[in-house]
Amino acid sequence: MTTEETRQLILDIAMNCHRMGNWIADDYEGKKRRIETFLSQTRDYAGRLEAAQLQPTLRATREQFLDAFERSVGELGNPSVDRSAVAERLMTWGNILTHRANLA
Amino acid sequence: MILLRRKATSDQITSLSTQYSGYIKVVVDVKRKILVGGAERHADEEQMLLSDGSKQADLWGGGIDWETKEIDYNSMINLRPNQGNPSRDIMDVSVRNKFDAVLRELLL
Repeated sequence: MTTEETRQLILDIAMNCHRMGNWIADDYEGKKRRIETFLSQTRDYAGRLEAAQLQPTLRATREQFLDAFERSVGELGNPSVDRSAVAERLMTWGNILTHRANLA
Repeated sequence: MILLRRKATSDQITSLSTQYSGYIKVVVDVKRKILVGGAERHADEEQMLLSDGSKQADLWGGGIDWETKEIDYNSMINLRPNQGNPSRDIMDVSVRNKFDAVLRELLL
C-alpha cells in the first residue's frame, strides 16, 4: 500500500466514523441497518489498515482506534448503554483520524 | 479536565493530552476567552464552564491534535438551530476565528 493509499484509507475510516456517529446520535433505530453496513465496511477498512506500514505515532493511533471501535460496536448492541456517548466517541475518532491521516 | 484562564504549562499540556493520546477535546468560552480541555466528553467541559459563570451561547466545542497542530470545530454541543448553528460544526466564521484565537492564546 502506498502512502497516499494509506492516507485515503484512514480518511475513509474517519468519514465513516463521522457518518455513524451522526446517525447514532440522531436516529439510531431508524438508521440501524445503514449503521450496520458502515460498521462492517469500517471493520474491513480497519483490517486493511492493520496490514499497512505505519510510523510509530500512527501505529499507536491505529491500536487506540481499533480498541475504541470494537468497544463502540460492542456497546451498540446493549440497549442500556448511553448511545450518545458511543456517537460522540466515534465522532471524536473521526476527528482524530482526519488529523492523523496527514502523518501517513 | 483543566480550566485554563492563562497559557497552559507543558505539564498541563501533557495532562490534557492523556485522554486521547495527543488529541485534546476543548470547549471554549469565546466571550470570556477561557477554555476547558482534556475530558472524554465535551458536555463535561461545558458543564465546568457553566458552573464557572459562562453563558451557553458563548460556549463552543472542538479539538486540537497536538501531533499535527490542526484544529477542528466539531462537537455534539455545537448543534444549536435556535442560535443559527444547525450543525455539529461551528458554522459561523467569526466564531471560528474567536475559537482559534483562544486556542492560540491558551494552548499553542
